[in-house]
Amino acid sequence: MRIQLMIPCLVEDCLPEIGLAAVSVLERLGCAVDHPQGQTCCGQMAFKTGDVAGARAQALHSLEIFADTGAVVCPSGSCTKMLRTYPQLFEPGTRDHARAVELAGRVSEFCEFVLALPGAPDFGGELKARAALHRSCQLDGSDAPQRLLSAVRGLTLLEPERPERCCGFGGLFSLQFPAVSESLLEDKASELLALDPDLLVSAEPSCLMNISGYLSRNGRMTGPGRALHVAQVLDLALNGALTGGALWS
Amino acid sequence: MSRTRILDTLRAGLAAAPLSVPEPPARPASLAVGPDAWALLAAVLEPLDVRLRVAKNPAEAATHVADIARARGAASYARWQDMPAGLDMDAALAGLTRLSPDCCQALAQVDLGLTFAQAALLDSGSLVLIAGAQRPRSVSLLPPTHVCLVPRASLLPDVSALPELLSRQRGPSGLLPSCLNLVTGPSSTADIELVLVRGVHGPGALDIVGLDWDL
Amino acid sequence: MVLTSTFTPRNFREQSERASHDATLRAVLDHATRYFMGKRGAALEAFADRDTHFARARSARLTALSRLPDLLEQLERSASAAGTKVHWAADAAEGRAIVTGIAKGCGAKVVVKGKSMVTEEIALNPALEATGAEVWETDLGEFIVQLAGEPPSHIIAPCIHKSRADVAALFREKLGLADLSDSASIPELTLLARRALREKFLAADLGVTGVNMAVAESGSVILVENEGNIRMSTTCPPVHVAVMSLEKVVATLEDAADLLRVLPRSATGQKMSSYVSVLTGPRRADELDGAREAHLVILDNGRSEVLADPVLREALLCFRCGACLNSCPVYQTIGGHAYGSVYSGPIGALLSSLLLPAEDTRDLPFGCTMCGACKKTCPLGIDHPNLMLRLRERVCAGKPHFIGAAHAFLASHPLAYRLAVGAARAVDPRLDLLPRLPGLPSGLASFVESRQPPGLKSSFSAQLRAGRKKQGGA
Repeated sequence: MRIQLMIPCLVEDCLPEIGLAAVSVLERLGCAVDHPQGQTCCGQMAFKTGDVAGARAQALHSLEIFADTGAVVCPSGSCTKMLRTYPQLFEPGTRDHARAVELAGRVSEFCEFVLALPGAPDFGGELKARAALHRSCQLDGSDAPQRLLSAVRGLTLLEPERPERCCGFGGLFSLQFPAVSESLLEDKASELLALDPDLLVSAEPSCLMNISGYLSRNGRMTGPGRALHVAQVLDLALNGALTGGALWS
Repeated sequence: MSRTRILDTLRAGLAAAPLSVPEPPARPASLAVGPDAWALLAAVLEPLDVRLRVAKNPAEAATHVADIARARGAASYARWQDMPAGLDMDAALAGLTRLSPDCCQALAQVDLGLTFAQAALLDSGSLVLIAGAQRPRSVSLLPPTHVCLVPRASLLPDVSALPELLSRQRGPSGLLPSCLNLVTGPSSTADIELVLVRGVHGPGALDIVGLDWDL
Repeated sequence: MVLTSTFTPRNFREQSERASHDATLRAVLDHATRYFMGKRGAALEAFADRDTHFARARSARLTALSRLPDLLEQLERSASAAGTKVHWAADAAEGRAIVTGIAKGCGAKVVVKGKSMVTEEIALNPALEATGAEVWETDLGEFIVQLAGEPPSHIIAPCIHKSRADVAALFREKLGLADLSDSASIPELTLLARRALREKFLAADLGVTGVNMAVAESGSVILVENEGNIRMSTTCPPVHVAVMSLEKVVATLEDAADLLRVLPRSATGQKMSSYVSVLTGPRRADELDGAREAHLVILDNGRSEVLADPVLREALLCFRCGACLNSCPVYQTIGGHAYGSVYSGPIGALLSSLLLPAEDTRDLPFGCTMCGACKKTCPLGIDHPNLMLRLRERVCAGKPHFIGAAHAFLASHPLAYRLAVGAARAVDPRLDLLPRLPGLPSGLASFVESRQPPGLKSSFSAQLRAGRKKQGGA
């Protein structure tokens, strides 16, 4: 199956390892991965700060980039959600609205997509580790990460006391309300560390950056490679290696 | 005038952006009121610290009410005038002083208030008390103990039975009764440190006597 | 803990930031929000056909909004027929004038009040006190914060921020109970409040309450509570005034019953609150108690304008169960006072933004991480995050936030974007300079101070290209 990979801006420039792991896993599972050139941002930042015109401009850009038919797969719940929000940015009945509806209908979050592939969820991967999962509110309650991780042999899936509670990032929120954001982050970090995990795992790059950056800054992240995207865990389990290297290395 | 301005603004708003309401799903079937109704009621009342005593006949009901008065240490009582037929509650409470429920000031001196429920709801354990000429609302409110009689025929599944019950109580002018109270357990609060305390403004004790015969 | 009432929505950001540093407050909030969420969760777990009941409740509220002007007129007719005097108030000032007018008319010396957000919204107490009357909040929590001179901190539990020792100290001072020990038990303290307020109920000339619902078809006012103080306020004083924000009307008793099925469960995890009163008109001639004179004040105060906005009017569905507050991670961290107005938490940020002057509430819709816990919790299906976005759009109205705007520009110009990132990558790959760039908000500085930024690496695109070239070559 041929798919188009949508790479969040955060992954493109700061966390490329996640993208590379996603490509590795998808290829291993039989997908031909295209990475359309010229990708920037899904428009989420503008949309969530109230700049609907800015978001619309970015949506138009994405509509061009992903104009080809076929599945669009994105290793981020929040960017996926933004693409699914595009129809709301255009007047119903217009050509752009129709294109937005069409695109929204064929975009999948990475874990959801992988879970729908033949053979899912047990692809025969193995990884001996205790993995603490941050579900991320941005996945809208999807249990795809849990189901994929549970199928990895040798992996013990751990969930914090309040699995769906926000890690406090919220994009601009963390800049406008830094102390509140940090309080939430501390709650999340300590609930995750209380599980005594080998790995911190999330399907949302921004949450992963927020949580692991905090632990790293405070010297509570013992050793590199402890924070992984679900794609990286699958990459390790299926291919025995981290294709793009570890985060925070 | 404010009235006109408010209504005009509302109408303009709905005209600019009409609001259509999708058909709601059908109301789920209610609990059946069967032979286990008293048991269901007792079970839902138990976590509310309310004891249900079921009487098979008027004599048993009198005994229960007298027991409750004794257990609660009541020396005086007030009651609704119209009580279910065949019950002599004054005889049952002969050792206590009966006070008239003329006004709140009078009722504030009473230890025990005796009422009867026009209905009781199995889903929530709520008593339905409908005020009227012979049935002052404060009898179930001011005394520290409230005792309520619940006839068997008055057991209903849940609050969805209320509209019909109320409609049947409409007066000749079509008006609903002035006051219907659903009473579900004793007065309670958890305002200080979230610690549950019974009896903050209303009765701290609620006792129910089921009348398990055809009145 | 002592709080002053100097909080304003204008200072929401500063107040939130400060509150999140207050360890005592956070412990109390943690305890309280977990308590309510726990009770609620257990009740909903055991609630058969829950989603159907929720859908019916939403439908009842939607029906009310869809026919709001007609229902209010019908309510006026049926309530008047039952003998209730109906008043219309366009704004807070008119609301206050109506109620103080009634108080003066009946020569009220003592006024007892049931817990009501809406009377708080129109700042009724000071106005009533200005008529020379004593005004008593009678809900235990409200009574305590009134004695302390503080605003309530939670829709359902107004004084969750006070310990029993705080309350004992307050009663000692304000109720003249010199012998009261700090170690007095909570039932003892409750009993003292009962005694003090019982006197007030019996002496009261006027009872003032809010309204949980008003039924258009019957003219009834429905009041929901646990303590009995609202029943007292409507039963003992000769005059009762119910103040209702106009969206609280429902069409039928059936709709009210559907809402009563859901409201207590969602608010406090109870199958039914201890007391629900359905009041239709004043006491009848042959009755011994109940108010002889019943008034209903229908208050607009900015709500009618909201009905024209197809997204924002969803906030008017709310029946104030408070579940979204308890579920909100931000509320769990900052509590109610930080919002600076009567309404707090997710629904509070929305309502205040809709009802208060725009320039005072700019920050409110931004105090949200968009995690959606509120939406998931709301039994009426209010999509709070979507409403927040709509408000953010309104706040920005062509003037987007600096960071958002810069980012939006770059992101819709791929070449400029790559150039900007490339330049940053060359100069400052670890992003160490980021917090020191001139003109950047201090928030960014503290973000980077507490979190190691991942830094700029060789981009995904470049690495993928290089890898594929190598593969192709091999």
